[in-house]
Amino acid sequence: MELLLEAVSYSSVLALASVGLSLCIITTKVDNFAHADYVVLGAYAALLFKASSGLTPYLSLPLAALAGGLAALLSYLLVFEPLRRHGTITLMIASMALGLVIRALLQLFADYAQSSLGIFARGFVFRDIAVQLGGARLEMLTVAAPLTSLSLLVLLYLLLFRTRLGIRMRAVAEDAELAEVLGIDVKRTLSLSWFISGALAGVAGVFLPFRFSISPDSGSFILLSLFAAVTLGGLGSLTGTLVASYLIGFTETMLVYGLSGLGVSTALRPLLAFSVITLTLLLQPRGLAGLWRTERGALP
Amino acid sequence: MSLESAVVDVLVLYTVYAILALSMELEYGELGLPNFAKVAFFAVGAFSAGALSARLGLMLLGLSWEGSFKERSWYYATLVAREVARNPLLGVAILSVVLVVAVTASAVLGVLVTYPTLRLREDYLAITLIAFSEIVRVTARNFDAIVGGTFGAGVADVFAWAGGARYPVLLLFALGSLASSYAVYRRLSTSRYGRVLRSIRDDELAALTLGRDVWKLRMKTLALGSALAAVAGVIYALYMGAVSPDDFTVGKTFVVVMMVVLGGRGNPLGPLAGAALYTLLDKALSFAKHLVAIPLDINYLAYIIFGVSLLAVLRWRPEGLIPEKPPLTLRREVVLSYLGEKEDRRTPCKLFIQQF
Amino acid sequence: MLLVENLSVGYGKMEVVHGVSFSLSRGRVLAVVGPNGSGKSTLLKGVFGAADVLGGRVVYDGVDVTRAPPHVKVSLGMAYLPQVRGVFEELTVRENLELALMSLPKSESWERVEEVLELFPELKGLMHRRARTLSGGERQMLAIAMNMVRRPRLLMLDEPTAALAPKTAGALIRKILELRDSYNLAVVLVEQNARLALKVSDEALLMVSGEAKYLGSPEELLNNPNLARVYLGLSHAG
Repeated sequence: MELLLEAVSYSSVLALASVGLSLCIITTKVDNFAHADYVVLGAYAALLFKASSGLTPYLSLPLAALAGGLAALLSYLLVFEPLRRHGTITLMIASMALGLVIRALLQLFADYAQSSLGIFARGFVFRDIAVQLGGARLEMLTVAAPLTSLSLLVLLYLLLFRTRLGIRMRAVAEDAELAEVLGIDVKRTLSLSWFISGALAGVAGVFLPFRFSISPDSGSFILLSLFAAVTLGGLGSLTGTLVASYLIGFTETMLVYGLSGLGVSTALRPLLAFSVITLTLLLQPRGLAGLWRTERGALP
Repeated sequence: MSLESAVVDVLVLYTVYAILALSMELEYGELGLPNFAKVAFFAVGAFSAGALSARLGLMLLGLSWEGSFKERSWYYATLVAREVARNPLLGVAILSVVLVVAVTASAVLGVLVTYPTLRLREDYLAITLIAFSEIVRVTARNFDAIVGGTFGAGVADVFAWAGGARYPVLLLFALGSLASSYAVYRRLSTSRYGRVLRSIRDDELAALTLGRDVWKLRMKTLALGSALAAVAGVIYALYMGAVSPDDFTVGKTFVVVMMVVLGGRGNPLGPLAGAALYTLLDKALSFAKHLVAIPLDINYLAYIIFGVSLLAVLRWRPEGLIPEKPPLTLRREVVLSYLGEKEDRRTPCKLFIQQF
Repeated sequence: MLLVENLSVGYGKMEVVHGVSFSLSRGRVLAVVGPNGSGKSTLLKGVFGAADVLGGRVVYDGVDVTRAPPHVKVSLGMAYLPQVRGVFEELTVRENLELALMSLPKSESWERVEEVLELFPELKGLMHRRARTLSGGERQMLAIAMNMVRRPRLLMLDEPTAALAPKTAGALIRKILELRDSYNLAVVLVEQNARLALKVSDEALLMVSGEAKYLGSPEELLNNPNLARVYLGLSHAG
């Protein structure tokens, strides 16, 4: 039972970050390798909050969202927007360079925090609070993570399908040039879109240190799982990514638990993610979404 | 460190980077596909040296290995080196075998890994390759028999017979390898094979009509690129005298990509220039570390500088230091736009108009 | 109201349209015809700003808008319908129209759309359908409707009847003429179907290999056997 709750928590956190990444990919056609670093940034924002205020990191959600959102926004404005005419591979490389810079900055911050502020900033974890629910005694994470994740994703859905901004975002995602022709300010729409996806990543980052030890380069640890979720979910499908996150989250949690005795757990997650990616691409490249999506219209 | 040995040091490092950059350029520049698992093949070369040099040496000396690999590799590496100092042929033999194994293993691995994945869309191919290289690293890290796990493995000095001149001799070997790599690269890119490669890069559709030959060509190129990377790996292992799995991270692949982008793609001098640029920057930064005492860790600063330089180059001088020479290539969007079709940036294409 | 002087357009450094000039007043339709690859689409894009202007001027209502970005031109009353993809397939008809409304400076009310729908009654019953599910003709109607929401004064259409059956093409052209009359629009119509375009237009521009080969009355172009047959593939006049 506890395992189930763990799986749900992990999956919800994964979902937040992956859906954010998926949003980026759908709207701007960029495979952003720096996305995982926004998550870590969120974790550090939470750390800073906790260290300076002494309050529980759960309260730092807005701060982390802001940090992640700003980082993503700056990434868009400074890197991906100016480079928008380049090909996919070049943009990927640019995002790798960006990730490198962010991680290095985090490293410098960690050094500074440790030496000048006395904050333990490498390999840190958060201690969880216990909560009484019904007759059961639960860890706060297993309640907070799924709840936050669910509400944010519902809000995102409402944003996309019930608001004018959502229409703009979907239009720009489909055809940015046409949107421009119709007078839509594409840059502003994309800026908002990136901010949102970064904010989601930042929020995800708050929950991670409750289970994993976080360091400035923890991004690479998460990135593969994120891409696995996006790949399995299917191109351009947020719902697919959501479902895939849960599938992968559950599998990862179960596997790590089941094989923890063998001492290979560190390699397990990347290995699983790798297998998921390869298998999906070889067997069903359109991902889960390919199963329920109908064939596209026949415009040239 | 004397000036002479400092120079030799920098030059050996340069040749390693230059060969890596050439191999990456072969794939990226000619095929349009960067090999994001480059460090894995580099590692295969280095691991061949690490895993085999001491063991091979012992075998040739008719001795047997006692104890686990992890614990004893350093001891036996030194022992073999002492024997090599007396018997140059031993060194040559070890080096030859290591090279053959490195090149073959790397080429085979290259083909095996890329065969199922070449069909993938370029960005997914990239992710898969990166994941693969991480798996190689983690495997080597966890299985001590390969290169001693986190301990690392000692590499027997196959140039020990040169006594004090062992590093210059290594340099000569390295330069020779670089020269041959360059020659191979030039032959390939100016030949018909090279032109076909470039047309594959530039027009996937035309390439598809060529059918199965495309895959064969691509695999050949990747096999070659991997083999070159392995040679660089051997040189690197000999230079370091030791091999450690954690030295072969995805970051190194990225550095090689950076060299190619900075130096300029689609031409042979580009990677050489890029490698030179990186080596200079790298050495300058580590030099600065000794001279200036700043409160910031210079390694991280270096990453920031590298990352920002790459982004800046992409933004303001995407063709790199030494741009590709004609034939005239027009961006696909340009030509398709002219023809009134909708551009789909997802496909790896450029339309190619030759100015003959 | 539209004056194009010696305009050269291209992509990057590649020049496709060389020094073309024409002028157009409101309430008139200019047909731009010519063989494939003659630069008709590129000319439109140059006027609108979707391709690089390498020389010459575009003057709209007395204002030099040569280098102005597309969204500025849109706010001045220019509308442009690209050759393919004039609607958002994943959005519903209603959402497409809402989108068109959004780009207006003040937040105009839905009444604007209602107004336009009077001219496009076919769309009224399709409001909640995804654009992807519409027929070719319906899609084009929607595309034009989306542009009309902004009450443009100049409408530039790039081969609107491509991929449409003849009957639908005819209906679409008739609709365009209706719009010209109701709104006193200036219309630039790039058409592959030269005969159709020349029959309904007030002025004609023949483009060949990026140059203006003829500018004048459509009837004379149709009646000119050399030009009509050689460049337009029309075997006899009329």
